[in-house]
Amino acid sequence: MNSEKTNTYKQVVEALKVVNSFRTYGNVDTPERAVLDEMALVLEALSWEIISDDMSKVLDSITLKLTDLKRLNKKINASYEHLKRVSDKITQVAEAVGVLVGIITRAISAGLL
Amino acid sequence: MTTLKFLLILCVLPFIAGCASLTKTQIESVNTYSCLLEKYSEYPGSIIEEFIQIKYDVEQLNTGTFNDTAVNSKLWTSYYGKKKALKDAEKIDVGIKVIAEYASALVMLSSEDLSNRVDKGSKKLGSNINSLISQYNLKSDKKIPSGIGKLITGVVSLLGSSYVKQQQATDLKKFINEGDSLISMLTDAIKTELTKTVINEWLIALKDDLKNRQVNFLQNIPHSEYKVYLANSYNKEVALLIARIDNLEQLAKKTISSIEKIKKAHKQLLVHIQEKNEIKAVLSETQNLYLSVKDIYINYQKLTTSQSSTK
Repeated sequence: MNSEKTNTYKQVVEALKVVNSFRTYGNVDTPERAVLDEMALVLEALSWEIISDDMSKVLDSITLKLTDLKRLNKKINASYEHLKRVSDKITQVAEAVGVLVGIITRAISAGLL
Repeated sequence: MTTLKFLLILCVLPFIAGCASLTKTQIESVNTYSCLLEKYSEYPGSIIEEFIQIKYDVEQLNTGTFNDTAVNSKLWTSYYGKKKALKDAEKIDVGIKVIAEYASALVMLSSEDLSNRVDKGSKKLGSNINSLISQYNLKSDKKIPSGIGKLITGVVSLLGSSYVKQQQATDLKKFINEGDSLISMLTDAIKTELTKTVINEWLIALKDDLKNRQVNFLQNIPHSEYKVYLANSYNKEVALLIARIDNLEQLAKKTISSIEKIKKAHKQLLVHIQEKNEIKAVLSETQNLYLSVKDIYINYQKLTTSQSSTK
């Protein structure tokens, strides 16, 4: 599981970089910026949970954040075409997090966690 | 007749005991090695803790870019994330904990005043190691042998009754024999894990994140205002974080390179305790391990100094 954790962590940090590159002085106080800020916060929280040693304890929280990410991504897809780079990256991260959630769930069922 | 038998036993016993026992210098060599191993086992956990601390400090670099309603939530998220991760770091690697417990047991078994060193803690050593080995084997494909815990429990239960130096030597031999495959497997696993996770992934991600947040901060402030009010102190803060990441990287690399020395020194020790003989100088691999642990300690000191300068 460690390699999946590390891979997901790396993807989250990369996604945060993409999101932050669109959070600039030019869009301060706009609705678009509010969505990007929220997305950055969800990614930051996810990054802490992914490095946790006890994945069984953070499973629910990771799953909730995955739902948040998908919800925010839908908003971006629907309203901000110029943020396609963000949306693509978030889709990638959501897939990686989804795989990790699947692995944790299976490990818990098998009594490994 | 009974008296004769008794006398015969008295004459033969020292001979048998002499064959099985170790010299004082051999036991001292085991003690030197185990003290170094015990010291070393503190560092891998420190690497993880420092990573968490730097990650938290890096996250503070762009707090000013969040809007008024989000910033408070951001600060709490980072704070709780760090707090939980630090708590987890205490138990982050079962493999390292097994090594630490093995080292403590070896320090105790090779001590000059063995009977006096037995306390409540040492009585738990055997069951602690067993439980840690079970946890490790549950998570790992390569299983480590579990006989060590039973050996310690046996020794500790004898102490205080008729435990003698000759028994100490016999038990030490058994213990080190049993421990060799454990050390070999665990050091390989820790080396792979630290290299792959800390050096190849986490540190790269941390450097990337530092740059990303600095840029993000600059992108959110008109150039003129940044120049006038913030440039010096902000740049200094980033520079200190760069130095801390570099120190952490050095410490991680040195800790990884020392792992091989732990294995080699254990193997050499095992060879030198098979027969009773005098060890006139510190064993060469133990000497290498000493230099390596000393080097790690110097780096660790730098790490704690840079930590306090950014607080």
